[in-house]
Amino acid sequence: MLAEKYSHMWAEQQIIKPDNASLTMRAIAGMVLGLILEYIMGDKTPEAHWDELPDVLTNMLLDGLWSDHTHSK
Amino acid sequence: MTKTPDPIQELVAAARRKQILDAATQVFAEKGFHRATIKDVAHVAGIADGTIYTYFASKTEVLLGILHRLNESTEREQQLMPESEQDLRSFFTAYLRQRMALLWPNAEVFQAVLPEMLATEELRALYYQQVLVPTFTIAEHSFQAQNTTGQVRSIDVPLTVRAIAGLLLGLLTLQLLGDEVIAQRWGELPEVLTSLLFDGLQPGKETTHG
Repeated sequence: MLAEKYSHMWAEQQIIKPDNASLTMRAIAGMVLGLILEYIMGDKTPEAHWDELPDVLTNMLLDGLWSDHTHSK
Repeated sequence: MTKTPDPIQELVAAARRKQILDAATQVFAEKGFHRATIKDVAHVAGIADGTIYTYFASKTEVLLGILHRLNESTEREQQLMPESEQDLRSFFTAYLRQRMALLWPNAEVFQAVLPEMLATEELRALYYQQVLVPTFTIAEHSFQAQNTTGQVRSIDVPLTVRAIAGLLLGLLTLQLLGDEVIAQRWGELPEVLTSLLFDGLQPGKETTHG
């Protein structure tokens, strides 16, 4: 609920795209939960790269995975 | 001398394994993994208890068989290699759609086995080694190939693969925890996730599709 509220606010301020705020916020929450579950299952890769993880996730979520030449500005 | 496998016997064995896994899926979903017995599975499958042990060494092995099937472990390598001419975005959406269509009807099984997996170290270790590690390896190769062709930007491949896998696992878990929005809009998720993962959240990064 709180994340949705802020996502709507950011969308109004054109900080993020307005599409599908409800599902997008759940996807982000799910990603964090899923990484924790993977860690519990025994995957230690995120822990080994703990310092890089916030930047990797932030870049992926804000900029997406496409290389620049696939975007039309 | 190595014995050549008989194709007919292999087909029969595959059919029998499927029959056992189908029955176990139903039993685990109804009773939970801990309470279910091999006898229950045999009863639902309509076979003798001993027949199950011909194909699976234990109840844990049956569970791993179900998890491999849900993970589509044997098909994953082929699934994650787009055809050379294929638009990566369409490929990824189709891949997500196919994965999510498989996970949705099996959510109850996942709900039945997740607590057991989280609580049992041996099961977690087996799941990690037999299911997660091979899947991550295949996905990493696939992403590295896309990296090389320049379709996706330079990324930390191992962390990105884990984040995407975690996203699906997390969404399924949130839905099992009772999130109604995810339950109601599960069918929309492949497009929404593709947009999120490829275009990102920031405005002004719409994709040219190809």
